[in-house]
Amino acid sequence: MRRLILPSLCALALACSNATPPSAPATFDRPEAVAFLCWALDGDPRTGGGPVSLENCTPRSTTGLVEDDNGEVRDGFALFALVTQTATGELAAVRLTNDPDGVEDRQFAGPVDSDERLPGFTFMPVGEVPSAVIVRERDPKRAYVANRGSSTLSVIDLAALRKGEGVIPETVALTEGARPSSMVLTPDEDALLVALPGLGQVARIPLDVDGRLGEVTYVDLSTDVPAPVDLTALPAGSLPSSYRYTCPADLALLEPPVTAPREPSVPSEPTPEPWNLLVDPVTGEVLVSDLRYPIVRRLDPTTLAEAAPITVSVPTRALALTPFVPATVDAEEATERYLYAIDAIDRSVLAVDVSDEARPTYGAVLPVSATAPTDRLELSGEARGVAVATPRYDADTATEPRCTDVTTDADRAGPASHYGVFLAVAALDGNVYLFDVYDRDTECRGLGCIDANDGTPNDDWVVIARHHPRIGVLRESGPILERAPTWDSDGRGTVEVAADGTAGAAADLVPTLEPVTCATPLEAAFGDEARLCVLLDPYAAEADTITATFGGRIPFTSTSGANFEAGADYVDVRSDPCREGVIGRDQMAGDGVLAGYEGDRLVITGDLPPSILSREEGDPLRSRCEALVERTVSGATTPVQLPIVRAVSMPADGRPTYGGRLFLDDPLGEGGFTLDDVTTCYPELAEVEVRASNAFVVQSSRRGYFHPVVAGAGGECEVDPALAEAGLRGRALFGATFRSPFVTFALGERPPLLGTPVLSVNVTDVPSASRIDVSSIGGGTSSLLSRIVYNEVDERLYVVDQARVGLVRIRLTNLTVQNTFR
Amino acid sequence: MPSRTLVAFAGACLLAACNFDQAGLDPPPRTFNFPIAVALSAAPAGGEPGYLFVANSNFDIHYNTGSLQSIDLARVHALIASSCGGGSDDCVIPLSNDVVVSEVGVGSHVSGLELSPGGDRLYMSVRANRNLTFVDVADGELRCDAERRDPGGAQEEDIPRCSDDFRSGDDAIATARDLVLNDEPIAVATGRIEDIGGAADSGDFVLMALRSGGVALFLDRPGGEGRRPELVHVATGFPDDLVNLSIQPGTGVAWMTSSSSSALGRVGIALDEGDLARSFLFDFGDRFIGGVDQGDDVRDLVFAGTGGTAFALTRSPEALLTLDVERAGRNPGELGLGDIYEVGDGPSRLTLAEVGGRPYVLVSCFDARKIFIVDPEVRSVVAVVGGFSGPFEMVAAPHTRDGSTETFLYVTDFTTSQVRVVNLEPLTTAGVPRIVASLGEPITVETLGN
Repeated sequence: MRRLILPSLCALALACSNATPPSAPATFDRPEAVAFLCWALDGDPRTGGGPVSLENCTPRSTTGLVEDDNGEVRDGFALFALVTQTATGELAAVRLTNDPDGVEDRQFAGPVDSDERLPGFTFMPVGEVPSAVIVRERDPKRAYVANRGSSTLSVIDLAALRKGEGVIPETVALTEGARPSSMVLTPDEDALLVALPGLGQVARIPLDVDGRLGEVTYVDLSTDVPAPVDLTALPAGSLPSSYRYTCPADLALLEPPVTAPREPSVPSEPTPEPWNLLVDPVTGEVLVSDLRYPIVRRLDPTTLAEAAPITVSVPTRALALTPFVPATVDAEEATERYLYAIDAIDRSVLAVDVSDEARPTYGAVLPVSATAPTDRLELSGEARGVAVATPRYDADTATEPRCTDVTTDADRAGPASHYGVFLAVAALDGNVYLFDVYDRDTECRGLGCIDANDGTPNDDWVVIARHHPRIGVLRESGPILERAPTWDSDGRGTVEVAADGTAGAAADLVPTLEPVTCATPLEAAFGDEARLCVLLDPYAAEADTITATFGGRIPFTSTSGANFEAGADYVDVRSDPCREGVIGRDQMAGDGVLAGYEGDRLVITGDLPPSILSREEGDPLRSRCEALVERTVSGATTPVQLPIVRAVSMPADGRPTYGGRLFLDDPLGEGGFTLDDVTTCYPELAEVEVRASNAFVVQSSRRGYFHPVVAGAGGECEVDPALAEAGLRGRALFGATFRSPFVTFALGERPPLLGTPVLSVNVTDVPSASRIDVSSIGGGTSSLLSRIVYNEVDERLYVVDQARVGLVRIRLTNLTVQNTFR
Repeated sequence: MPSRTLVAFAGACLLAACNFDQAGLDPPPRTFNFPIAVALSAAPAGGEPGYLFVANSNFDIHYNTGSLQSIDLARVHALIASSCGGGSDDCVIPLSNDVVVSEVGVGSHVSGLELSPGGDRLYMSVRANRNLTFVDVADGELRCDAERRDPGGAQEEDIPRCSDDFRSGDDAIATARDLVLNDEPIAVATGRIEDIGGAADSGDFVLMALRSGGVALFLDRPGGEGRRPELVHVATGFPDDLVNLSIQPGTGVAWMTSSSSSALGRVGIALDEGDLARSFLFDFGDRFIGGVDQGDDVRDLVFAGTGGTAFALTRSPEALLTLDVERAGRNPGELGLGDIYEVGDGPSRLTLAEVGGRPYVLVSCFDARKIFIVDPEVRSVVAVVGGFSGPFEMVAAPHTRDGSTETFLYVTDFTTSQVRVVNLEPLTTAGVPRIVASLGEPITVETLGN
């Protein structure tokens, strides 16, 4: 018994030592916008200090060394973030930094309880669906919150932030239905500018010295859409320069082709829909994206007068702007600037030259990718936010030597170290992707290209190019073929193609690979002479398996609902055959790359329907139908193949739930069966697919199946010669060269013992892009990234995940997630 | 070692407990019991729906059947005006005889409720029945040859139960075709046969989704009194864990959502104009939600306008997605993504409502206990309505009083067994809608054992 008394007393004593456990912190509820705030600490954790200019929260370490970059700010100050909570109509204050050696060493980073008098943990109430928050950097007396739901502004006295006695915001109503979406301060911080998509206007609200709001002025926006800048009309010498660094130095990268600009989209409604505002620190202008108009407007922050807008041809969402950066790796001054915008239609990202208004290229959407679409960044996800990060970058010293006599810092130069200017894209797939704009570490990268003593181990193969994804890992080589191409014929095993294009033991079963000429952007990848061309450019290549299947199925043509019409010479199918690339015998042109192709086949892959099989054995119809499909006693059947004479999109008077109609010839094979036999034997819906005839169907596991078929007059499927010439061919023929955007090869003559061979090509070792997977933080849940912001003061990226993770603080000197707050 | 006496006594007790004649508790009338689905009666020309139909799931099997009730909306609004001072969030309207004008037992675990295009019949998916359940409607009165289980029995009050004829479709064609319904019904959708290529006045079709990836096609053809929907086909092979299905306007194609897949299954109806009984369902091919992280738990889908745009509700992430049905996404089979709106935890159902001539999308979030309201024209969440305990299915309808028309939302609050009434009119002035009344006294889980 005594043995129990002592532990019990200890337990009681422990329990009594903390009679009022701290309340559980509040959790974010659909956070959206972020602003930053610096607080001077005075030692009193409850009421101490007050908001001060943001520049006071400079990093604690001034060495610039990566290992010292712990995210803490100078002693006596703390960095805070204000985060809007859209579901609860609140503003959360979050302390981002500690004060380890300062006056408040008991404080820790985390959410701040705005009203300690209330039970539980509270945030500051604002309006309905707060969508934007801003604080003056130089004189942060107040925080301003734009509330999209209630069309109001909330003004919060920041002095009360840490008192824990609650904050009652002042509320200012905007015009009903304004639905503010974005808010910025003018460069002088003497007024707020608010985008009002509900009204098609921008509002300007002056601020007095104490940060109080003045009278609101509403301004209509122009609807003029100037012609976009056409780079193809400019002389080659005036085109934007190319910033690239490769090691080995002779590594060739594809040059994005210069193409004519897209035709500007036509607004669905005449009223503008301003969405995102961005202050240009160089010109002082405010840039305005628009969800309806294909322009980025430029406003004077004082008069709200509009300068000539930048026509980007598509409506846009978020915007981000770089500082001046050098034009090339060797340039001696920073002369270039870029505007990045998210295409509001498909959430791709475009880059615009905004270096100098006097240049003819000013406002041009730049070619940034060697593969289509060439005017969009190579982004695997759909963008929801963009930010330009400039860790340790100063445009005035951008070209000074970086690595000479530097050891410790240079040791860390590598894919994960960010020193310079980078674009960060928050994507819908839960990743933050990084793109190179200007990397000051280039002179420290690439063993074999620099002094080996300054290099990073295993940093052999380096590619850095502006507007391209940052390659996120140390590499020894670029993309290659995993091994020689292989043939697999009828499941008899795999045979590698020899360098001379033959297939050794399978030579009688498969065709040879003949020499070909590789055209840019494809490169020779196999053979004593070039016999196979694929994409090997590190940005254009994809880890991919390319297959060419003899008599293969045209993708998306399988259906269990084909409807044969009794007595008719056609079958109705579910999908539109022209869209899927089906072509009939009578629809082939006499010339062109597919000349001589005999048209596709419809293949019945399913068994006879129950209404036939339920007939008595020996029934004449059942017997005839079983002969048609060569049905065995075990129920096995042989597919019935019917040549397609014509394929058409479903006529207006056809069945509304069917996509198209295939006109057919009598079935192939012996037995003298006719199309009438087929329609008689399949009175119910049939399982069918369309296959190529005496040709190979070429597909990419990553890109799919490219074909040249379009719907012509009367819905007739036909080959578009322009598409075929552009490499959208779909079918490879014997004795002909097959060219597509991702592979080129030439097949020899038809072999004597041809079965159904499959040619396979694997592209591998494609470098992966630098990214942070937010959805993997804390156990892997779904993410919905809403905003991404770069804070120049602590040189960190902040990403807002509305779903689970909350506010994510990302360190850039060695790309890692440093903290999360929610 | 227990004594033989004890063993015998325990055995006797066990036997006594095994009374197979136990019919269970009859549900008390005028009581919601885990309401899960709602539908409005057909509005007369130029008028407004007069009745709200509420399906109770009997989720906890506390009673021996779930029920269907018909609520007089005119009476509800009169009580809101008189007893609740125009409405307040603590106003509870008891389910009196003049509020609940009709109710019938339909079986436990109702999962879906849909009114026929003509407004004269309600179709239900009821898991306990494993078949199509239907109830005829006339001026708010529910008719299904219902009888009380035990007239004059021990329990003071009971509700009449639908006869077996209303708990399954006609299976004559199904028998000839060897069709078997052996899966849980999870949702229903209906439309006119003439709208998908059939002859005029040829009746309605009903699609019933089955949880494990199947769909059953019923045809409800004109047949006068006592007509029953005929089961004519069952198609399988669609995504597992189906949750709901919606018919794409102007087509004979229904889209299905699954809680374990980003695939939106599509089923088409192939009408045989010569003999409707030979009509079939076919797999119209999946479309996929791609690009989001991960999009593999889709709870609801509703088409807007003519069907070119759809709204999909996902739980991964918890968001409302705008889908461009015509535009392809980045990968084969994927749909083009339009605007995306964050919503609260546990998004469950969505509905469309027009308030002040402006369309809104409303999303119930079961775990967040809120309803998120999206204005697609300004591409924003514009209001978040709280005060619920477990909001699930909802439906909006106009109500005119003193010459002015307001839009009300009726929301099943599953966990308190109530129906909440929300006035959406504040949306017209950038305000936040609020609960103006709750139908029925709250029944919390804690009280169920009493």
